[in-house]
Amino acid sequence: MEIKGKVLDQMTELLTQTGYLKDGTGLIEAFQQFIGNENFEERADPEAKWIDEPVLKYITQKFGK
Amino acid sequence: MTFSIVACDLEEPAWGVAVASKFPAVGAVVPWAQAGAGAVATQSFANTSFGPRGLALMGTGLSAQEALERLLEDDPDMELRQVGLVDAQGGSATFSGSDCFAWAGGVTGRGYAIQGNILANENVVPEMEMAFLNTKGNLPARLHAALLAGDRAGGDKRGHQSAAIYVAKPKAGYGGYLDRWLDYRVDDHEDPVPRLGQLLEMHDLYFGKSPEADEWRSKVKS
Repeated sequence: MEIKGKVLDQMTELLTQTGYLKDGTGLIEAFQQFIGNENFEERADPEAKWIDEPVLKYITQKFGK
Repeated sequence: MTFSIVACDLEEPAWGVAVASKFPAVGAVVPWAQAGAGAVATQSFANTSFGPRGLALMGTGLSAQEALERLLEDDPDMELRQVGLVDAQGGSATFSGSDCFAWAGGVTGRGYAIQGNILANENVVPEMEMAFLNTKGNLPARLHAALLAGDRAGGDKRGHQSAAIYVAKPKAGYGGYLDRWLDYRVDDHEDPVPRLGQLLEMHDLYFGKSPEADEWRSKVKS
């Protein structure tokens, strides 16, 4: 899924909640750190602003509030 | 000690083994596979040399049946052994020695061999075959479906302990360097076959590929 609109809002919220997105950190950098720590490099591409739908569902369920 | 399925999907192409047993870490003993050569399951007082030797023989172009005959002719304890093989072209062979503990036996078809010993009943192997043939999906999914069907039909009559799946596919290993596509083991668990299924789901989550992702990446790169 392209990371824009609702998906972008979802990712921004999730990265903020988990502490990856904070003052001085860009969204892409925060997303890269998160994906690296959670080992989802094969299923998401922060530079290309892409995340596979099953992974988005999984991380939303696991890390979302 | 064990029930197993050895199978290939020549379209993928991939060769693999799924196995379960009332024995610790069965995945360290029974399954062997090599892309482009075939797959072997060696069990029942397992002669583990059958794994690498069987793959080497099939790698030279021998059929599964020819490789099986070569392996057994050198083994003074062949009547204790049980072994299943599939070769590079989908040929298959299975052998259950006359001294394997009952119930023991196997079945083969194009691209698969299913065998077991110390089984709860004679339905285990046919249930596995039916599940393998009727399940849609990739080779790992079909191997696991067969294993689960055998388990639910009674499986190893002594109970449960471990299960494993090993599937080889050219350059499908992590990073694309080797052919070890899937190599999951549940080494000691009260219900290992369903747990193995959970690990396969986890594998799909981390390493699955969606056509949409490939399309997006190529669009961004072009």
